[in-house]
Amino acid sequence: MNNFHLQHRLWIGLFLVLFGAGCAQTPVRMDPDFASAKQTVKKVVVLTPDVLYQLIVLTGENERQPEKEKSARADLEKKLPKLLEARGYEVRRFDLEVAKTKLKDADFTVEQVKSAYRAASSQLYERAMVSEEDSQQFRVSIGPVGGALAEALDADAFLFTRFDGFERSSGLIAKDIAAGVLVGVLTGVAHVPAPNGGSMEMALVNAVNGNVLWANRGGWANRGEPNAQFMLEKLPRQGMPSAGKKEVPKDTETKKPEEVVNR
Amino acid sequence: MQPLTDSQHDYAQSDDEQRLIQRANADDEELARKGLVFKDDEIDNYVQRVAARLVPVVAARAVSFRFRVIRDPTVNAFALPNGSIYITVGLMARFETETQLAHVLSHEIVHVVQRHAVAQLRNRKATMITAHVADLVLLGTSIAYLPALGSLASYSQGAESEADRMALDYLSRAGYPLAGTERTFQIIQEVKSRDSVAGSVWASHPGNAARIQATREAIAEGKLELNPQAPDGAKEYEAVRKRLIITTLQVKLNVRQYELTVASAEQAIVRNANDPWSHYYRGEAYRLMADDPTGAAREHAWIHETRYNTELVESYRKRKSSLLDEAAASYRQILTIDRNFAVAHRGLGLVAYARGEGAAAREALNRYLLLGRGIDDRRYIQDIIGRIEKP
Repeated sequence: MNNFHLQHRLWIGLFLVLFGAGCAQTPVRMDPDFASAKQTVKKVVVLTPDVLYQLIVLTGENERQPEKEKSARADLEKKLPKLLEARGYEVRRFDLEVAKTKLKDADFTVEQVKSAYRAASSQLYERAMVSEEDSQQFRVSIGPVGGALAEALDADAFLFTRFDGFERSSGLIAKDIAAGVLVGVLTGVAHVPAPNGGSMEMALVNAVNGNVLWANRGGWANRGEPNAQFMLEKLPRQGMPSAGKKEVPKDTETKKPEEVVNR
Repeated sequence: MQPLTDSQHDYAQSDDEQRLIQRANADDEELARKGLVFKDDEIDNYVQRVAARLVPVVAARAVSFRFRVIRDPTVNAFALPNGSIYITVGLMARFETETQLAHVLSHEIVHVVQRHAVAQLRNRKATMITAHVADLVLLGTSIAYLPALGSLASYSQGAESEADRMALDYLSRAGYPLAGTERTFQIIQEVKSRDSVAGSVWASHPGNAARIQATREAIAEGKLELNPQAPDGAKEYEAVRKRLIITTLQVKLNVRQYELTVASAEQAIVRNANDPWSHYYRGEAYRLMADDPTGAAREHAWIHETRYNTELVESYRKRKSSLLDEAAASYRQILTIDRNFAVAHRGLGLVAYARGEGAAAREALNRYLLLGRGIDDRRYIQDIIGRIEKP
């Protein structure tokens, strides 16, 4: 719970520092073969987004907010297909009940696919930010774990989405203001943590071979809602060669990639 | 606070305990929704039968106890304050007797009966408020949160010791032989330290040596019925364990626990050398280690608490050939047991593909497609064959 809170602070902090400083660093990850894979990856299944929304309280017993989670999930489920379609992808809406009719143990399979992505994600994001050039050299795979699901849903790719949102309780805000004032008196610079915020991770994964084609992470303060549009702006458009992506020079083929996972 | 065995208990009367129960109910729903609850009637009935012998009758009137096995590779068991008790396949696959299972279930039942969760919640509140005060003094750097975080993950040592002590009493009353209880701790001790997770029943326990000593002392006091002639249920348990081992290996591999998969598969092979699936998962673990040096290095560092760095990753890259040899040896072993065991051909095909031996890979993978029934990675394999055949 508190790791989550700290992680938010780190992500938001990183964005402010790195973008503020104008560094050419990015949280985007791309498979070097994404441009060619795009020709076969057309039908995307939007997996049910994983959403966690918490009220951060003074006692440390952070409280999940089921209504906010439900609303954020509904918001994502409504917007994601449109955003993907706008980028040229054919969207297959995921329906667990339908999947269950086609695949035995579908709920567990979905969880296994998500779990495999989480494991892959920790490799993708060993470093939070990388240079633009390095960002296009990630070969990470979740393996064939999603094969049966892809077959059942007639999918070429899965879209994974995770949103972590938080808001601070009034007690915690009061404490932070007091701390901020104290810092201000001593240093002349006062900082008060944002009352709410969020972070997201999204990834497009080849459903056939499990290769993570594209991933992005982002975090923001003062907005406790998902921001899928912001996240998907960096997803290359389907049908347009290498949109949003620099051509990788031929000599990089010999360069050791950041991650190499071929299952 | 009165335990549930006390007729004067005020279970679920306070706001904080009600909130805890609501959270526990939500956790139950989430685990079920994600399909994590293991669905196997035989195992389910077996666990319910064992648990029914252990739950104090009076406590069962206050709380509806529910026992579930979850498809999680970690070695873990936990109790929620609403009476839900979960045990992972990772833990169940390690036990040897019914007594050991009953021992762990008893320990978890005690947490519910003694209402340790609400006691811990109240204790945590005090801890966190202290941490916030320190945070203020440290100018909002949040440094002071860190020591407090550990205390959030599990019950206090006092509660754990009480659960250990009372679990013996539950076991004794249920007629299980107490002589085998030390072995439970030994099995847990054999587990790699990181194979359990924060929040695990084992995470904040007194050291296992101390637990074994405390168990010996409790037994030596002579107050408990030792049931020396009672069966420990080893034979029945072996049938249960067999049903779980494949699921355990699958879920371990899925989260890139290669070394732990090898260890579990080899244990299973010692018990049954002719089980093709144990050989298969041993082979898969080695093959994936060769294909995923980064993941293998991360796991190694995690298990052995060593530094994860590029040198470690490089050491796995250098071992690629020998890792593939190990994998191939496992797959070939299967073929000595059953020549038509489809996934052995898959494994051999993927090893050949990783070695750049296109013709051998294509032949083995085609054989897999031919022999396999209900293959769920057909497209994946066809994709590989397509790449081999591409001029």
